Amino acid sequence: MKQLERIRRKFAATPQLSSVLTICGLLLMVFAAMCVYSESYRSTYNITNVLVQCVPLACVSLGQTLVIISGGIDLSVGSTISVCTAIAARLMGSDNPVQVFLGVVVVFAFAAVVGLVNGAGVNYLKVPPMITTLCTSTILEGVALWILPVAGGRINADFARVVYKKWDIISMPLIILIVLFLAMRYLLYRTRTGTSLYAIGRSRPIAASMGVKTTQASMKAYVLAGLCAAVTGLLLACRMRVGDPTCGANYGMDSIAATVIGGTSLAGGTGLLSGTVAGAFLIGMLSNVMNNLNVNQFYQYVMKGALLIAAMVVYSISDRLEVRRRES
Amino acid sequence: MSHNSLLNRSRGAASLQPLVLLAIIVVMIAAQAILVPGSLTVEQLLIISRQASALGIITLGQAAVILVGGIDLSVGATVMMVNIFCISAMQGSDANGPVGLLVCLLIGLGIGAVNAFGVLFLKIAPFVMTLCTTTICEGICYVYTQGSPTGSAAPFIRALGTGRLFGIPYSTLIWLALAAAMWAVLRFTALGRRLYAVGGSPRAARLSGIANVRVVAGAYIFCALMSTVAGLILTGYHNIASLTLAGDYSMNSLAAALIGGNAIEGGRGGVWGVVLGSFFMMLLMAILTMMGISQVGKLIIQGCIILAVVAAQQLWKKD
Repeated sequence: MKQLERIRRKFAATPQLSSVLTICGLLLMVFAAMCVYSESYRSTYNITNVLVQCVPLACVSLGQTLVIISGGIDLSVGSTISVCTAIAARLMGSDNPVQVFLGVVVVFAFAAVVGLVNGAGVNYLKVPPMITTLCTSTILEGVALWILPVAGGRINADFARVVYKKWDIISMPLIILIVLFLAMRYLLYRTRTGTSLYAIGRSRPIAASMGVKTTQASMKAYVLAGLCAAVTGLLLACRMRVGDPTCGANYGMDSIAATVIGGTSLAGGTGLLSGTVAGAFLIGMLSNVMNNLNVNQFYQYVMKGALLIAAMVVYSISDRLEVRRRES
Repeated sequence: MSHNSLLNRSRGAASLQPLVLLAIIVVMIAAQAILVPGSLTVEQLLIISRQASALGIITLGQAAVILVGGIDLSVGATVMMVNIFCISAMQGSDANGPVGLLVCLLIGLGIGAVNAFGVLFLKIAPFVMTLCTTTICEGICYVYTQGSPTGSAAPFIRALGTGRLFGIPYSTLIWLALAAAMWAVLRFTALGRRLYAVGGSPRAARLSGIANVRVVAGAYIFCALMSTVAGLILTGYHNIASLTLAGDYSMNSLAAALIGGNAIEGGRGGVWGVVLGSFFMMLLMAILTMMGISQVGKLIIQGCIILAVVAAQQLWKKD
């Protein structure tokens, strides 16, 4: 009985939780249907692959969620990913482990600087987040092409193999995602920074008047978004074993879509991380399912849009039911 | 007139921004005359205005959507779809013109209506909804053309994109006429006041008896129709069916609207700032191209300058 009461309270505290469960249910339904339908789909090999394929988007979306909760938006994560793969391909080709390690450090340092620039633009220059990050995105596109004019370079094969190591269904990318998720979760729900992020997302003036260090919190969100993009960039670089100055192009929009599907409002102030991960997996799984069903590449665009709308409709229905339940 | 003073306040915050932008544009034109000697002629400015007209017309639509608190990322996809279906329906002859225009009109109305339906009735966030329609429209274009579009524009569409009246390009005239019409609607009609009211506070607007749904749906459909017009002009100018014609119009129109002083939260903004914003974007790109800067340098400088300009506007606003 006590357990039940605790679960009920948890639901009451986070209204989006039921939406997240809906998304997870949807995911499981798609997954189950595919397993029943296709012999090759239910192989361990494929399931591991599906999980691994969704990880890069999930990582970058976690950072995006922090920024959106704090009332901003980061359109530059896609270009940051591109630059990170370009830097990695330039620096991490050698067989010397020290140099590979230094390459990783440089990638993260660069991403942190990008986050600082975004944060400074938003907080000190007072430029709207959408414009700031759109501008840095344009600049970073240029930087990526400057570092690596065409896809190329090399990633140390041993390093790439370690990053993509697989044990049955568990794989290294999945572990990276879980660690990142737990770290973010701790930060968002258990620390002062997390509470500040929610507060400044809801209302910046009120947060400031309550003594929240608004600038500091907002800067942290952008830096963390940059770092998450760097993780995604490294994962992509290790998967391709080369750098690609345009490989991140779709991640900006997809990460925002994953965040919103996961129940985070673009208005800021509400949202949760588990929903974002579910959203990212939904987007990733849809494309995998369509590849598996041999849907024509061109039809996939149409299907992807339509299925996303369908997912959002389920989400908004469950949202409305929730509101009705509360009112009665 | 208390409602007028209220209205002026919502415009007043943004009213200085277009002036700052105008000053910046004048400085840029002067800089161009110094950096690229002999390039500054009336003819060259007219050509830039023609290039800016497509972006400018799209941005008018985008501004209307932003004004009611939404966002439309599907403008680029609308341009692409109009481009492909217009050429395919007209088959390069004027005789099929009416059919082609009808097809384009239906595409515009359809995309606008779908966006409005998703945002208003399915309650999907505008950002995600218009992103979905973008993906779907692109998919339809790919499926329809099988990845390799062919054909060229009908003569009268080509005239629309390249023709001139008294030396001024048609497309520039259309742009300015649409801007003037939109300005008049926003300034003098009840519809204009409703747009500001709904964007400023949807709840207050609803409580004071405005049919929010109609106003917002109208804004999305207007935006899609503006993109349709821009699509026709671009089709005439480039004279090809292409899957890459749409380029970055979604992001650029968003940037132009915000540079022009529209607030992303809605409820604030004007028309002339938006017109100047689009012209500024194109002027910047044209100057960088004239100076012979590589693609890499262009992207980096473009990003820096836009950031600097908006930052300067923000500083000005605080004073």
